[in-house]
Amino acid sequence: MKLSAKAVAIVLLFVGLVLVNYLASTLPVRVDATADSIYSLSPGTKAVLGKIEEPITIELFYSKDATGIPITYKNYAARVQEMLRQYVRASKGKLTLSIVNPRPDTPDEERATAVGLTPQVSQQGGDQFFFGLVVTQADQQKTVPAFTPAREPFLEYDLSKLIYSVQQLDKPKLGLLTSLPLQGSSPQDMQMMMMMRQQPRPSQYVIEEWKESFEIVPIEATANELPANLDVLAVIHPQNVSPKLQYAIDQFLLAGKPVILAVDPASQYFKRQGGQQAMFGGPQPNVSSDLPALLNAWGIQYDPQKIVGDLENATEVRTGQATTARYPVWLTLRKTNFSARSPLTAQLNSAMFIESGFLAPKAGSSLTFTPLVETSARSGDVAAMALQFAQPEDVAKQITASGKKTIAALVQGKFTTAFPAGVPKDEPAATKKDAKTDAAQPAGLKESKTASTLFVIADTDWLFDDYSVRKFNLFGQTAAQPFNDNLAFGANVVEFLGGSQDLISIRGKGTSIRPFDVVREMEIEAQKKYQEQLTALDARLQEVQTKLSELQGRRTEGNRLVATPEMTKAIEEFQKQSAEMRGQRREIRRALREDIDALENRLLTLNLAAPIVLIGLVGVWFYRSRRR
Amino acid sequence: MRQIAPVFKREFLGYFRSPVAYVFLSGFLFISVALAFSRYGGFFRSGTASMETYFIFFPWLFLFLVPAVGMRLWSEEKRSGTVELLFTLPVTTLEAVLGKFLAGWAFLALAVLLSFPMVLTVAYLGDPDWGVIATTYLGAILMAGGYLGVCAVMSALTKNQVISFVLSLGACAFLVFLGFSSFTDTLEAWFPVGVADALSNFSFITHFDAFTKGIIDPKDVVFFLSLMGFSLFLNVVALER
Repeated sequence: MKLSAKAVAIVLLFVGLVLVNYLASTLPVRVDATADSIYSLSPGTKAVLGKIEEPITIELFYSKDATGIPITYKNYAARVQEMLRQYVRASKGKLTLSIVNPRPDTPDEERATAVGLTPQVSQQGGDQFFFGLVVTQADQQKTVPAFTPAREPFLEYDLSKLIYSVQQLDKPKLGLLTSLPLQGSSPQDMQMMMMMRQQPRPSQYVIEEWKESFEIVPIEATANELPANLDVLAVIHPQNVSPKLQYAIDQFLLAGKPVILAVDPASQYFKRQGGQQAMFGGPQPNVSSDLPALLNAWGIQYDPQKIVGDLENATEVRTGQATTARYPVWLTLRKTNFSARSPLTAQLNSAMFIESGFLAPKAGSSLTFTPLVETSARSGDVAAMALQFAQPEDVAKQITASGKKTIAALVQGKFTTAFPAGVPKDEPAATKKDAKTDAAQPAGLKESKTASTLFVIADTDWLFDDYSVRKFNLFGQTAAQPFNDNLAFGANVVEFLGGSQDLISIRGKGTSIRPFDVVREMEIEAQKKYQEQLTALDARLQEVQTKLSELQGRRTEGNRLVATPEMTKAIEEFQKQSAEMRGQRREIRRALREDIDALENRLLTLNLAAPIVLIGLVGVWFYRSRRR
Repeated sequence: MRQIAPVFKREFLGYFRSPVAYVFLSGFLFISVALAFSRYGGFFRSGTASMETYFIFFPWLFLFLVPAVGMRLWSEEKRSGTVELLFTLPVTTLEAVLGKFLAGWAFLALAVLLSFPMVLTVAYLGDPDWGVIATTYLGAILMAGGYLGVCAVMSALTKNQVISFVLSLGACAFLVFLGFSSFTDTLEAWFPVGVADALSNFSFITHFDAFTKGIIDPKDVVFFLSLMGFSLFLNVVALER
């Protein structure tokens, strides 16, 4: 072949190569080999698509000609397009997809802005680009203002939710049972307040968020049953809830409907009320809430007397005119404290919880307990009573770190009833005769028929504006700006639980965790082995430290040195003991990880050595066979 | 095409006749495990029964391993003059190219598969997703073929193994870097965005990524196979100069 002919052949083949690759990229097939079929449309999405009655239009806006779009976004755009094509194929003609390239200064760009898409710019610079989506059905329209690759695991959920919500004409019903004034003043209260020349209380912002997608139905604690046709039930700071209503809550969950339960060992709202009432000599209100029968039956451990303290995530509070202190029972939690695997918390960056309690799964419970919000490993508990008179500076001293604590969790599975005997009776001392008549009543559910979902959190203060938004006056109107993600978290919770059952099945997708079971077992074993020693040591250390601070405090009384030689000796002795015990504690903590570290080293050595030994053996065999 | 098998056998066994192959294999597996367990890989710390932290370094390790394997494919034959001897035998250039390429690819596949103790480790520690592990291995072997195709062309262009290694390293690095935004930003400055996108679509990393997630996409399989086909054609052209 001549050189020119070769050159032509090379060029032609290169063009062929590009063409073949282009054609391959348009093929609508791909094999999803993951065990949970993470990248294929789930049955939940197919169900949502199957229920579409009126045609829906999806417009994907992507400025593919813009410069500076990061590669991750380009790949993600291809992934979104591929996913949307799967939707169109599965919708059997109900979905129409159009891909729009909104070039600058064109009607397409104007439309992108008009429907509420957010233009993005790469951090490295380059053109402004649109990468968002609009879903339209009749006069209903919903958007994803801007796609980001960080949300890739929830792409299917986000798309299906949009398609589902655009068809919803009636808002689902959210039952709200609470002893807190989250809903603001009722019309009756308002009248009374006006008469007493008091300002009526507005609703908290979280309620406004919930009203966006739900119709809120208030429920009194004294009611005996729940209103009909509720889609979600929120029980927030339950106090004096009648047994019959508790039974109704139990049956609601067992019927497969989602429940949000927020309890609190110390509600700041009631604490403040207590302060005001004390000024007028009134009785102290109960600041804590609990539903022991329900929590117990639902496999959750919670102690309304204990508050979690986190030395790492303490909030800075003002203690005097110019002094501040880190207050470890007011928690400012960050991204690392939220579950990255749940769509509920994956996007949260910070949240605030005030004198929160903590939760744990009960031993032997068959339900799935997924922690969503956890404190750092440097957390411990404090008795709620102890906080009443303690100064912020002193609270930290009461905390002995004992590992991460769960503040919020998702409990899923088949729940068993808290009322195995059926509807509770009004009279506590029921006679045998009553029991007989009850037996004739229709029996309630003893166990969930299908899997139920419960969101449980051990704090209620996070729902108040005081800990989530900064309010300011703007041209005579009160405006608010969130200073953390408490509001977003509140909205996520109801959205997560209140959407369609089909959507819940999609939400769980792609979040299957494949942990090192062996390591987890070892951790539990080590914990069992050393926990007792550690607790005893921590108690002794606490004792010694208290004595030490007592002695040191006495020594500098009135700015005069009043220490006797005996006292100085005792202080030195305690200091020595304290140092020794700290050393011992370090040792125990190290021992907790010892077996796991040893396993890691063993596996590393094995993996390094095994292939080399194998290759060596092959070499020896090869040389021998050659010699023969 | 009947002569491919003898060429393949001669070449494949040839790797094991020199101690260098053993050093390559051991070195590659040692470094890959060490990286996975290191602070950067965080295999054990991740606590997740997956091979992701192990395979994440493969495009970078191949950048050195494959040119080391591919540099001798033709350079050595050319330097020692055995290439003329080879073509006096009843073997066509295409058969020789294919035989040698397949032998190199098999050697690289062996290197990849010898990492099986890591799979056993993951299976011992937890319950891995076997589908994802299988597609990742498939992707790694296909990617090794893509790298080797490029290296074979470079090796056919020169008599000197060191020059072949350096050229291969450069060409493969280019194909890796095409997958990075800072690199494509420069391309966008020179070409229209569509052309820059088409070019950046030739990156090894972009096409390997889907395999590590458990997806077999025809576009990724076609990319590696077509790259191999194209480079083998160039290889034949380079030898028939």
